Order: sequence, then structure tokens, then C-alpha cells
Amino acid sequence: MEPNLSFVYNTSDSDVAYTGTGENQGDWKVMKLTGGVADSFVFTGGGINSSLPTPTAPYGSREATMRPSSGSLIVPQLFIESTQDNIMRHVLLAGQNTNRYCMGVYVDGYAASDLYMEGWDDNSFSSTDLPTLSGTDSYAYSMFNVIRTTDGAPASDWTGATASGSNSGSAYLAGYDYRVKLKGSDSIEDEAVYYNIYVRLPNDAPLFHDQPVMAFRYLYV
Amino acid sequence: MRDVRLPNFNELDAVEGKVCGKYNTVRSVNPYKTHFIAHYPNGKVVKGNNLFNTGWDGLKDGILLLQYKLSTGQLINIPKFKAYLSLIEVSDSIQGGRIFHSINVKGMGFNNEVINYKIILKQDNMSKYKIGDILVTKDERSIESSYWKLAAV
Repeated sequence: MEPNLSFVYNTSDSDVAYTGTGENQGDWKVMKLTGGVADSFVFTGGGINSSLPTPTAPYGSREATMRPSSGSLIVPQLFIESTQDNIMRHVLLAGQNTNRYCMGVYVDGYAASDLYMEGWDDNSFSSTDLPTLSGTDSYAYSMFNVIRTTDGAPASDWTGATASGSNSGSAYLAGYDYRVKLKGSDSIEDEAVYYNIYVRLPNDAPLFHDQPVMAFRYLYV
Repeated sequence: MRDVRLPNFNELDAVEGKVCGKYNTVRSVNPYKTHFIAHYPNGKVVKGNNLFNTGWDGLKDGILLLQYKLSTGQLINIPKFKAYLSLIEVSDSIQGGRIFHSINVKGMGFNNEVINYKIILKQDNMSKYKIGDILVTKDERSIESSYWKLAAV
């Protein structure tokens, strides 16, 4: 029988694990997928006003990120935008840092495999052509850096290539070939797994407003 | 009206569903109409439910023949093994979408080797595999699970 997945995020600055079983629990919130427009990730900040208000911002707020003239820039803020709650909540701990408990997935039931986090263009789960997933001439891989933190905190300078690269503990997230195993074992049952995430914007990025999807692949009985 | 469990499906009829992406269109089996069929020596036949709630965990040992019926009408016979394990490969997205990739039917041989029959459940313009294709591989590791079902002796 298929397990239920709950996508949870930490809205506090305390790096503590989720202790719920798929519901809002303390500072951990559950992303709403049904009952209307699903909650979504918003990577923002780094523009003229530097950042959006924290820990919450008005629904629909955006601080356009300024493309750097050289090198690259990590987009400084991640918000979860909830149409249903009419608010944006800042995930304070997400980013290139040593925080372990920023984002998680609670697996209610039994998954007969690891939980693989993947990035795709859309809900057809079949292509990775968006600029954020395909990269640029100077940055030839996905701008989404993801690392598994279920088994430990990442290094302060972690990137998508830190933990053995593709299909392992970290990845420049793009499709089937560049994905992250969120537990690192053959099964998951009634437990939470965790990851940290950020977007690095290269100087030759085109102007875009991409909306890729984050997907989670698994096996069940 | 879209199916609440498959909000990313643009079309869904008894045979197939369609998911239209920005760069690609995916065709999928109808997961409500795809299931296993287990035959027993006494003539009893047990049909699975669907891909959401397969019914595999309630299946009894002593399977004489294991089959899979896809919504497209294709009937797939799994070769004789000592035991079987049926696993569904699925992706869920944070944005609420879902796609069923394959049914992985694992057969344990008489020397305990495990052969995987991967039955493809979707096709698109970029993948070389079509609905109903079967990829046969040998698993490198043994698989411990309480959901193995023994074949009839």
C-alpha cells in the first residue's frame, strides 16, 4: 500500500528535528498540496532591497534577485508561499550553511526503497530544459544545490557535488541522473528524512521566472 | 473534471491518461485500471485493486501463475519463480503531481537469485521505452522483505 508523504519545513531559527507524524508540529509546517493551489517554494532576495521581511512576508511578495556581473550569487532567501493561508513563511535555516533540519519529508507508511529527490521542468516528470535545471555556459549544471542531511549536518561550503555527486548524498538537482537519496538506505518507514537546498545564480544566467517541480520517487508494495 | 489524485493529468479515460508538459507530453496507463492477477492451484483467481492500493500485502502464498493486466488491455505473464515481490515505482511532486513509472516484479529463483521484470507504465517523446515494455535485469543484492509471496510447490 502506498505511503503518505508530508512535505515539512522549519520556520524557526532552531536547528531541531521534526517530531510529528505528518501534521504541523511546533515551528514545523506542512506544505498544503490539496484543497486549492498547492504551496510552493519561492527563492528570492538579493536585489535592490536585499531581502523580504522575515519570518513572514505578505502573500505574493517578491524581491527580484540581481544577476551578478561576475561569478555567481546564492539567492539568499527561501520562502514557502501558501495560497491557502495567504502568507509566505521564511525557511530561515535553508542555504549554504551547516544547518541540518531545514526541510523534510515525513513518510507515513512503508517505502520499499530510498526516497529520491529530483527536479523536473513540470509535472510530466520528463524533461529538464528550464534554465534553472540545465545551467549556462559558465555553470553547466542545475542551479539547485541539494544535500541530504538526514544522517548529519553539511559542511559550511557544501555544494551539489559535495557528497559524491549525482544520485547520492548531494546533487545539482536535475532529472533522473542528478538526484539525491534522502535516507541512504533501502527502505523508509514512519520517519522523517531531511535536506538542505539553495539556488546559485551564475552571471550569464538568462532572465527567467522558472517554476520547476521538486519530485520524490520511491517504490512501494 | 480532473482526478483529485492525479491533478497533473490533462486527460484520463479507461485506457490511458495524458500529461502535457512544457516540453513534452507523457502518456500513462490508467492507474485505476491496472492490477495484478494471481492464479492458484485450486482454480481460484485473485485480482489486485489498482496502482494506488495494490492489494499485494493481503495476497496469500501458493501462487501458480502471476499476471499483470494493464489498462491498455495488455496481459503480461510472469515466468515461474520460487517467490514474487511486486513493487510500484511512483513520483510525487511538491506541487501535487503524480506519475506511475513502472511495476517492478521481482522473482526469486531456485538458487535465490533475484530477477527484476520492470513493466513500463508511461511513454513520452524522449524516452525509448513504451507502455508495456519489459526490462529484465538481475538484482545485485538480495532483498529482505516480508512482502515476498511464495509460489505453489
